[in-house]
Amino acid sequence: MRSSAHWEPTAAHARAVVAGLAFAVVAVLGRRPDLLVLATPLVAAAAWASARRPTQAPDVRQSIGHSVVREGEATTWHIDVRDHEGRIDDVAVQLDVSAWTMTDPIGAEVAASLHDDGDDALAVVVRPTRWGRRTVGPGLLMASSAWAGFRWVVHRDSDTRLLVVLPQPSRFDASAPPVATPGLVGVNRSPRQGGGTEFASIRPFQPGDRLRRIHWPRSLRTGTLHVTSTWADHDRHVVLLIDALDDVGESGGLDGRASSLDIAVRAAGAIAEHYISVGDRVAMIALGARGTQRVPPAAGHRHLRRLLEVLATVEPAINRLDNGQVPRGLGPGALVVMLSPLVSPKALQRAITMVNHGLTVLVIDCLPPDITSDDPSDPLVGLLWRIRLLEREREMRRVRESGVAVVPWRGPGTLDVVLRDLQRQARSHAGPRR
Amino acid sequence: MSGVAPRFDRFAVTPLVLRGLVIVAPLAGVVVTWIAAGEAVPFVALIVVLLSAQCARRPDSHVGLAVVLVMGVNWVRTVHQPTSPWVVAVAAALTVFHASAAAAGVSPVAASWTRAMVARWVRRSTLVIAISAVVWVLVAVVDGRRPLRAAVIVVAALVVLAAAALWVRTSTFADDPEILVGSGLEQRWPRP
Repeated sequence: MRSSAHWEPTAAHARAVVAGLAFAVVAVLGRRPDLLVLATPLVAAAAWASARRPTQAPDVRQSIGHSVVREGEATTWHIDVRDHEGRIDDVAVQLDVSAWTMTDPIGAEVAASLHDDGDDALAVVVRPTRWGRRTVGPGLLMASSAWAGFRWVVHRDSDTRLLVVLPQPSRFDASAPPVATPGLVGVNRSPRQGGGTEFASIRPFQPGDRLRRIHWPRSLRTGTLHVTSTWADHDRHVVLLIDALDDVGESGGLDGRASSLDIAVRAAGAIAEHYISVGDRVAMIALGARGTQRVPPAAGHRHLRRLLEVLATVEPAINRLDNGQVPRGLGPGALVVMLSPLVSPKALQRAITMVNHGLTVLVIDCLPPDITSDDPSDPLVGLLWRIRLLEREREMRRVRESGVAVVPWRGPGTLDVVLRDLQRQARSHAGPRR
Repeated sequence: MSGVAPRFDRFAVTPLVLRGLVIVAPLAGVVVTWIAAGEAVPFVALIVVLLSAQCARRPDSHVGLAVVLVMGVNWVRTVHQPTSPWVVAVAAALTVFHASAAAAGVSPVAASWTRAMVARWVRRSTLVIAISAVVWVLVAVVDGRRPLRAAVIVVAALVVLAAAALWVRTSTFADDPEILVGSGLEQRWPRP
């Protein structure tokens, strides 16, 4: 932190005072009146600055327009300066911003004449280009008086603001039918009959049937009570398991290259948005630097917002080893969508273990496709990656043979083929619906 | 890149122009001094360029004082005609240098200046140059007539200077009698 407790003279003022007086003294003592002419601009500037020296500290308030934005969206940093004496000429601000943040003007530096331009000119547009928690500010503000003779500087850590940047979900859609999972609430039809809205059949009355379900025309015609049965509404319980134990590749923000964690987070946001929009319950488990972050299953747009906010806090665990354990809290019958770069054999082992526990598991491969691109500074990197990917391909083949579906992230329709296969498997296990 | 000159691709137009003026104006003053003196001293020009380049790099430093003093000493040493009209041109160069360095010292390198800021600095600098011209006229008139004894003029001038120095000191350190020092902001502003 650096702040002035008072208005302090600048080097320019010192120059004007010292050189102006020196020239004047030499002019008088050395009988060189022409030096008085040279002293004039300096003495004039020094006298002007001294006469207009501010004495009161200005009131400075710094604020940000929004505390939560999505990647690529912009908000504005405002600086409000109140000059009680009217002696401040120029105000300049240099705003601190964290990585993956673009600003307008570029460099996050603005200057304005306080009384001519007003403090509306002291605004910096901040546009984060990557999800996460970004700090914005504080701004280093310098107010200066006439001839830049005196200045007042403020740089308070308390002016720092936290900007939560929600991931911008990738484009995603799934047209495949749902995987059969047990549940009672939702918009998808269950393979079982029960309380719901979609007509299934008319059958004889059984003890426990509700009276309002009695179908009177059939009952009168046959002489025995019949009831209308319906298909039970069934919900899907989708668990997004995000493997943030590795972050492979460089992130260039929203408009640049994507790292594996970028792909995973944006894909998770897209999948969550899709399933919540059709009324399903979505849970999330993230394995990363903050340990295991969990969001319990729920539905609705508020829950989607919560999921995105937690996604924004996911950080890669650089120093944490993957123990390959399956996290607790995966409900039985849940559709587990695991998003991982799959560079660690432990991640693949985790998927196999989940399948062995009876869970339906879909693995989305989030490794950036351009990871093998040659690095100009080290040509061996591309070669090493190609060797590692060959090994990885062999490991993934073994995982597929174990019944785990592994698909690379392709945006819309990524899960369609796999979901259809899983649906067919579920139907074949359950037998034909009557 | 700390400790190295700021990258020029970060500069906005006005701060870049200001730093250009910080280098060009003293050099112009030295050239005008050569014309007035009728002799060229390239060594002085070299010193002025080196000092002003450092001042352009760190306008919030006291190197600018050295530039001004070198220009003044060069004038006194080489020009022996007190009423030379070229002194007004040198004063103008000093004004441009001082104003440019002062303005560059309180503004970040990537900040664009508003039209009002530029207009105000130009207006004030022009006014100061005009005052210098008026002072030159007075000097030329007084130098030719010498109405009073030289000792009286010297004493009166010294009294005025002492009073001015006292007033400037009082108003400069109104709150806190600190020594004039470089602010330390140059470590951060301009920031590479």
